[in-house]
Amino acid sequence: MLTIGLAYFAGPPALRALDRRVFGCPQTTALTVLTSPSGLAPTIELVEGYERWTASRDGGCAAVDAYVYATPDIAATAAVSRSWATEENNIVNPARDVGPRPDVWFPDSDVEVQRLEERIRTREIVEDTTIAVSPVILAVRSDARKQLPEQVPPWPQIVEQADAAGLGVVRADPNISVLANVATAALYGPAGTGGRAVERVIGRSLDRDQYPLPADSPDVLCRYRQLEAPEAAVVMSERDMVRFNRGLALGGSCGAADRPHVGADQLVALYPQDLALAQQLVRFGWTPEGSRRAVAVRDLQRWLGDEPGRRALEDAGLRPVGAAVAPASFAAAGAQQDPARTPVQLAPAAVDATRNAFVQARRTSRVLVALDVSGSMKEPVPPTSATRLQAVAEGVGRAVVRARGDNEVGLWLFPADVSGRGTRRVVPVGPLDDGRRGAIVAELGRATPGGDTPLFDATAEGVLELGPSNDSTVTKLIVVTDGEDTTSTRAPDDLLTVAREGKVRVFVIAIGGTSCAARPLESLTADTGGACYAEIPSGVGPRVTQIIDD
Amino acid sequence: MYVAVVGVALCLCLVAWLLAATRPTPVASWTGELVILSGRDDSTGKQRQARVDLWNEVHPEIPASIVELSGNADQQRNEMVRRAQDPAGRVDIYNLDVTWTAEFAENDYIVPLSGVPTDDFLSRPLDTCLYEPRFDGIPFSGEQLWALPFNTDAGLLYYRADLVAPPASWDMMVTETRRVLESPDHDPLLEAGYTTQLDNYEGLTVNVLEALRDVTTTIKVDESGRLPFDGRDLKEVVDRFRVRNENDDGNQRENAKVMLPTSIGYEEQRSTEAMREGKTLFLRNWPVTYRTLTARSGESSAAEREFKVAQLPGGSVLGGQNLAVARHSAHPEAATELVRFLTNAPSQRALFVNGGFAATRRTVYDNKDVKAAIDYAGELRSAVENAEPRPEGPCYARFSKILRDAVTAALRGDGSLPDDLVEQLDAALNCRPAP
Repeated sequence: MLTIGLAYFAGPPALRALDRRVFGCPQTTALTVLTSPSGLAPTIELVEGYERWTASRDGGCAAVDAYVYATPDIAATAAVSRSWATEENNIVNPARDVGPRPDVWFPDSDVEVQRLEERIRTREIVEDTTIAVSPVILAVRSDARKQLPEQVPPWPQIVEQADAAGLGVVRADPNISVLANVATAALYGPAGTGGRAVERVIGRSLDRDQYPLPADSPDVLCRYRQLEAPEAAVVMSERDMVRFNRGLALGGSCGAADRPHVGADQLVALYPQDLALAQQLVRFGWTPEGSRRAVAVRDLQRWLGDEPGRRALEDAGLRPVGAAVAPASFAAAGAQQDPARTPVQLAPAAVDATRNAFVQARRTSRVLVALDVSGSMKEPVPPTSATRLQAVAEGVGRAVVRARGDNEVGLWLFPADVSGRGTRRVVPVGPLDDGRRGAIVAELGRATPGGDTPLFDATAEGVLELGPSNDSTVTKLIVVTDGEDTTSTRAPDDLLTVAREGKVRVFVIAIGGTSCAARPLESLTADTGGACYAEIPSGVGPRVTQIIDD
Repeated sequence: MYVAVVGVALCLCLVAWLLAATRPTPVASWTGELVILSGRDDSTGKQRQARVDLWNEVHPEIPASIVELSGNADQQRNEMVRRAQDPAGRVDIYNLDVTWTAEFAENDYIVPLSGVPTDDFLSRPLDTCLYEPRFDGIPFSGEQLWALPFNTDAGLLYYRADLVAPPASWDMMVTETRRVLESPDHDPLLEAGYTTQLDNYEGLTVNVLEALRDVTTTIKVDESGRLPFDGRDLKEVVDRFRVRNENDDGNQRENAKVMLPTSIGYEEQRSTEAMREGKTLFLRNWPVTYRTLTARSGESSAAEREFKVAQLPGGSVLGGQNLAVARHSAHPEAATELVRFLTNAPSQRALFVNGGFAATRRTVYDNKDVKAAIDYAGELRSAVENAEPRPEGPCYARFSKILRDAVTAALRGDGSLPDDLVEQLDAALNCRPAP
């Protein structure tokens, strides 16, 4: 029987293929793979490549059925710290709020892993290893390359030169993106003194083409891809640039694949410094050793180190650890064939220091909060008896008290009165000192709901009141509403025209089931570099703080 | 030699099956706690939890709790499979999407139910609870009951009753769309005739299968497990849904007036919003949408529109969820009793009237209080009774992924589909390697 068994398993692949075709495939091993939002598309490609490879070994039957999903590293780490378990009261429930418990994780970096308490880290994480790297680069359109020096200078100088050439520079938010954080440390220079000049250039460039704020790396690339004639040089990973040029999916809001970018349209990589980010693979202790899942994870890890896996990493835009398989493919996609790529040793303290330096160097915010006080804000917020307006007003009040004092903030209410029209300009925009904080909280406490919703008029007038951003200040309008416009004199298209021309970033916080897909909120926020957030009333305060401070 | 190998393998499997059949089942116990694994409950007042609370009042010796999973169906399935493959998973009841019941039965994640009366259940939802396990693709043990229908679902056609009549066919819908949109004084907010869910998720599979029903009259696989449609049928469906891009000629771009172009990124909520805002005349969606569409804001508005509901021209595919008892449950008898409690007539009535979960029992639809409370109940029952299940099989998830990935590429690209797509789908559904 042993001989027969060996003959079957070691027999010709054709026999196995025939068997699978006639009798079907055996049960697959379900594998749960977690990654970051910016890593979703390449991770799906890697895992699907692994599935195909297992299928090629077993008559076309894949050994695993992998499910890949994304969540920010910080949310994943919070779930890891609780062993991904649901607490008794069901309030903390990572399986519901984050996703299924993963067997393997491809994080953006291991910074958040390092922040875990050591006892938790050693209990839950059995391996945290580097499988590939990607250099941090400045990407420019190939037809603009000649506007920059042939010999690439260090980061602070290349930004100056890109600005002087009229290109500008855009970059993701260093508070969100680890790549942007690492690049920012280099941009500010060894002494860390060049921050304000750099942020002036970046802020101006972000405003010019309405890049979203705050933005993760995929959001920046999405906006770049939407522009008819993008000019700015982009701080990004070599991986993303290669993917952009190859027409692969980028992640974020424009996740789908695109046409390849060639010729003048192609991005080319400049390497101002030997600076690279490591791509980690993290295995968890809760996947029992010896189980089918654990065996599958180890097999995936082994495959990534062998030639088929290394080739898959390169196809996804990553440089595998060890010898390259097809370095010329990078050169064809705008990268250097074999650049220096020493992975940076990331420490949480260094990342935090860069975040603090960025907060000091970036532009301050000039913010107007326009709060809907129409009749529908009388609706109760279960399980409490508080109205929507009371819940939201409390949240906005807390946000204003918490926000950084170097910002300017004001408050309007709409409608102005029971006529259901106009706005009440209760606290003008000005420095956020204790007096203004107190005035805003007092006005929020006095607000009463009633009347219709002149949403479009209030938004347009708010944009006109704030005026455009400049080198030192970014202007933001925050509209908090629970419904559709009912009484404005302006049509949706008129509002969009005012908003686009006004150069003010418009943020909408939609509550009470109002969808961000509602017309014209989607265009209004996307076209101005703002954002729309659907929140429950208790989520409004933290969101307002974030918009003011980011 | 191959026959010998297969023969030996069959003998070994028979022994394994006999061992499994005679292995001791967990000792039935009526003390402890029952855990229900279920997707997020977004119904008003958490009606499922309310029924579980009632169970707990009556059975304090074995209270139940719902462990909620993500609202995303793919994530739900993944986590349920993960826990099912873990003997220490501590789950007693799974709330399964109707398309997963076969997979869970085939892989021994759930146990069959016996001695449970099923006469009152609507036949279509009940059919999704029946499955005959297979050995090497061959059914071998007779059809068994593996779950009870918790709630059912069928796609409905919502339409602007102030502007159009309910269409009896896709062609009539196109005609009505042209009549209204080509009128010089039509509502300027109207952008197209129809919207639905065409984002790349299970909703797209549902929409494609429903359109295939309209094109081919059925999506039921034949006795040899083959799909009843071919590549031309699939192409016709893609042509219905695809809005031509700038590379197509002028005539082809006309489809933008029939299909709202942004539907390609829509799931249930976003398509409902488009209809609610007056962008389209027709919307395909589930019954729960009725409440959203007909809710009034309470403020004066020019945007109050008249929405009514009808059956989809070609009929719907069946949605819904089934409750099944986990193989590893330490309390299988109590779990079965809780499944019966959550699917009995009073529970079904409460979940339908208070939470909008479409009931699975006939007597609920016959109840006059229910008819008074839910004015679309009659249309819904007809739609459910006329609905067809999605193709059944333990590898349905793979089938669905191949179908929606191919259709997504066609909708976003030049409209072409892989030449061997139907062969790929046939193979996937039957758990066989791709051709």
